[in-house]
Order: sequence, then structure tokens, then C-alpha cells
Amino acid sequence: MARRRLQHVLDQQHLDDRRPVVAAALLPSRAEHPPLHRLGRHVVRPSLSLLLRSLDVVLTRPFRSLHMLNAGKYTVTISYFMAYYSWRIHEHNGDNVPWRLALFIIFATFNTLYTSTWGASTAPPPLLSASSSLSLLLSPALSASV
Amino acid sequence: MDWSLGHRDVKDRKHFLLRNELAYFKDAPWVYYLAAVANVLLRFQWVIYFSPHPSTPVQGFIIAVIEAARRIMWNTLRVEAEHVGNRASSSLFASLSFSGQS
Repeated sequence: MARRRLQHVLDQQHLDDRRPVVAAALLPSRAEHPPLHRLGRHVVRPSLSLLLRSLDVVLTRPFRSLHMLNAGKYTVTISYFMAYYSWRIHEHNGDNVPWRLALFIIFATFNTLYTSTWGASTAPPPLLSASSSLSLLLSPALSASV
Repeated sequence: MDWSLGHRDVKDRKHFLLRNELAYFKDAPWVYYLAAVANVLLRFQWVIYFSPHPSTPVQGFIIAVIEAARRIMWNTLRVEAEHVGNRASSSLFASLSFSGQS
């Protein structure tokens, strides 16, 4: 029992990246090949931190609504393709479910209207004509991006 | 929109719903109206899937060609909008004096 607990501690230790040298010295073979069932959280860690960082960027930088509009556009486009392939695959398999077709039509219409009205966040502001852009350029929010 | 058309605050507007400064089709502003309508209509390309006639791979090919053509048109007019915007802001900067002699 105590030995198993010690083994557990050692396993945790060599996966802890603050103390890799000690673990490698104690368990060289396990340090080279860590057990697969403990790998999950380490695989997820970089993408999770990237997600948190991008959320942080979205929540803290200016023009937040533009980023949210872009995120909504990509989400709707992903839903459109998912609905399309779910309809096609089930049709190919023989079970013709009408609600999948209806879902595809709904998402395709929504996607078309969304992408027609909202394009790219970096579109030049329509106020950027010589008559009216002075006040915009002098405002601190926009002068950083011009 | 992405082509920076649809101005509302221009005082003496030369073309209805268009930019005052046009680059590619100065003498034919109807091209912009046509492109704006065609851009929305070509986005409804997926209705081809409901036609029974050509097979599904052929339909997919037609839709891909339509999408490529639409994106080429979109990019061309987007480049024009970027050019006009850059020119407006650079002329504005040129009109300001940074020499410190004022």
C-alpha cells in the first residue's frame, strides 16, 4: 500500500514539469515513456491555455464587438457545413430524415444573410473621407489602428 | 460593407449609396450596383443542391466555380476600397505639418 502510494507520488512527480530532473533520475524508463492514461491533461494543456488567452484578448482589447461578430460568423459557417454533411451522410445511408434537410436550409439561409451583411473586421471605415475623418483620426481608439 | 460602399454622411454625394471616390469604374457606376446585387445572389449558390438534374458531384463542382468567381469579384472590389481609404488617410496626413515650424 505504501509502496503503491510512493509509486503514485513518483508518477505525479515526473509529470510535474517543475521537477523533471528528480523524476528522471529516479525513474528513467518511466520518464521516457509516461503512462498513456495520464497524458490527456498534458495534451490539452497548451490548447486550453491558448483558448484562455484568446478569450482574454477578445475580452480586453478594443473593438470587442467586431471580434464577437467574426466569431459568430465562423460559428454559423461551421454549423452550415455540419448541417450539410449530416444531411448528405444520412441521405447516403438510406435514412432520409426531412428535419436534417430543414436544418440545412435554415443554417444555409442564416449563413448567407450573415456573411452578406457582415464581412471582415478590418474593412476601412466608411467615414474615412477627407471631410470627416479628422475627428476619427484624433480619437485615441482609431488612431492606433490607422 | 466590405467595399466601403453605402456612405451616409457625405454632404454632396455624387452617386446614390456609393463612395464619392471611385477607382475602377469611374464612368460606369452601375457596375457597383450590379456587383453588390450579384454578390448576395451568388451566395445563395447552395440552392443548386435541390435541383435533381446534374449529379451531386457535378453540382458541387458548379458551386465551387461560382464561389471562386464570387471571391475574385469580392477581392477586386475590396482592393479598390482599401486603395481609396489609404489614399484618403495619406492625403489627410500630408495636409498636416509635422515640421515644427508652425
